[in-house]
Amino acid sequence: MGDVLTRDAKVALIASYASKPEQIVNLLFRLQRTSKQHYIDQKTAQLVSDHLKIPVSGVYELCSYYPILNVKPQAKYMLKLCNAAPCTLVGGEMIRQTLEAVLGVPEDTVTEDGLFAYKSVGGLGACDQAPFIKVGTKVFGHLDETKTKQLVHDLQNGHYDHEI
Amino acid sequence: MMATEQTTNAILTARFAKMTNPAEVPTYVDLAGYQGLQKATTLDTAVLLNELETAGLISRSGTGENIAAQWQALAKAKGQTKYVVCNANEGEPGSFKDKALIQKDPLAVIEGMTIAAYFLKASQGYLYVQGEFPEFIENFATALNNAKAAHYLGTNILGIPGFNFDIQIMVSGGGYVENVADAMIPALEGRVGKPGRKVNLVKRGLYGAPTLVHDPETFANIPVILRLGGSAYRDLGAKDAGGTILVSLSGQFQHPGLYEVALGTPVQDILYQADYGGGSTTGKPFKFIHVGGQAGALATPAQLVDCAYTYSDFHAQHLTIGCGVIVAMDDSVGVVDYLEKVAAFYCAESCGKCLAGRVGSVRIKEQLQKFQRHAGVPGDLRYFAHTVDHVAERSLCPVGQSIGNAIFSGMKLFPDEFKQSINWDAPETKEVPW
Repeated sequence: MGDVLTRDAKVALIASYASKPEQIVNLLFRLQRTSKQHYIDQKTAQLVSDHLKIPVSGVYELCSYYPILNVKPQAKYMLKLCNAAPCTLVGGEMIRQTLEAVLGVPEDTVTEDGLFAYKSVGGLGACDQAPFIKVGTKVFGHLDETKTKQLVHDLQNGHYDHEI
Repeated sequence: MMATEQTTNAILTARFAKMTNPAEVPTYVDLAGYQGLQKATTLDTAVLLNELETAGLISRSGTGENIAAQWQALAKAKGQTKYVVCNANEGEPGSFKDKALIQKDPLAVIEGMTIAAYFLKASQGYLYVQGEFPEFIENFATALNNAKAAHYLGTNILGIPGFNFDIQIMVSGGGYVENVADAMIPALEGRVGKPGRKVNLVKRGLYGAPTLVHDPETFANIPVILRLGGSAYRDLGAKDAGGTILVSLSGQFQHPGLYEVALGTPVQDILYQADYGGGSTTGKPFKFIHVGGQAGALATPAQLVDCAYTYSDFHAQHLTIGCGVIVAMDDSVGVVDYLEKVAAFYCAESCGKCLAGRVGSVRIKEQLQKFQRHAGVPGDLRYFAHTVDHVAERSLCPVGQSIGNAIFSGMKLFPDEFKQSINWDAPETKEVPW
């Protein structure tokens, strides 16, 4: 899931983009990837604003517009499902319902232990493996109800921590 | 790993299975890599353009544009600074071709971009790639570094003084609308990726300069054309367009996956042959085929019986090749249910810029949900059609403008399923004027 930057390292990283503000999404992407809970917190947004000399509202405009950027802490395991027609109608909806039942939370809500959340996203590019769940960079394809439950169990026990 | 099948005359996927590390330059060179660039640098620009014209390459991004014509227009465009952009945003449901190229043969994309830079005398390129796939970004970054170290990128490329070209990776935040240049250009400039001013890529693209934009597959074709020659490339394809095309099969195929297909291949082969889609996985016959992506139309299998996978045959059937997406569904899937998912995608991906896209897509989805509940009343279907027409007409960009293609084809092919969603005894709805 990435290392956590020290404040100095974070400032140095942000400052290195001062001369290339057009790459702000590259910067936010890197900051998020290296944050412990995979999101852009307020202090970080302010630092970006200060160094790139854009209003903090401009930083949040980007963060709220782009689906890959988060402004609230994320679960350790964000389970992404595809909600587009080719996947949903070949089992994707079943996967969503299974996760809702197993995790006991609605979509895009972190479980109390902070471990899980699930979210529907369009165009994840693994349509040939539908129904699937993507966690980090790993796609778990051709799932059914039993395999989905097993996947949650395995993730809970850290089985895939070195792969995602 | 996504399934990737190689068929006869594979030119785009030929290296996929042969490279343990696709970012390594020596392996790429051993497998015919950089021969296209070498050839390009020996040719006069007019000859290079002639090769492209002969090849008959059509953009694989879904726009259907003639690549030689685009290059010619960009070459003539005024301005000392020109940019080369590869849009690898690929958020199209059912499409996974560009991700495959970026992951499995990134140097082919880089080589194609470098040839374009040589032709246009551009010194800066950009790869716009989805942040949803950090693994692909890392792979591409490694390939860029390796290409630079081997003097295939950077300054004095191939030892040619003044041939300087570099590529900057730009992370896409993941919006579907950024497949459209009007939204991608502001995103590349560090602003929110929404359509603003109407972008004319030839006259006023990135930072106001002439800008060549292709998808990864189109760029990956360029070195092949130069290596084989335009004529040999054209012979791989059909009369109306040369080469092969990457086709993404999904839905209820027995063998979903990515296939390299010669343009002109009978669609029946792609749908049913064992070395392609292999027919239905459910044992039931296909009910409809959705081609060209979300913006494409639905077709019945019967419509496609005598159809070749070519731009002209598809055009004759009012269909589009698009970016090579083919989704198949059997009769267990209701057309209203399918179209509701299509509309939901448009809702989720609306950038919010125009009212038609932002609100209209929601109204369309809501009406389809009403039909799903069989809660329609007389007049609803007419009202629905008017709504879809209106949204398509008033939308600012091609995303909203294309919302009606799948819906109207579905209504035309399966009118009974829509009629069944209406309670014909209920009082007629009064249409609210827009």
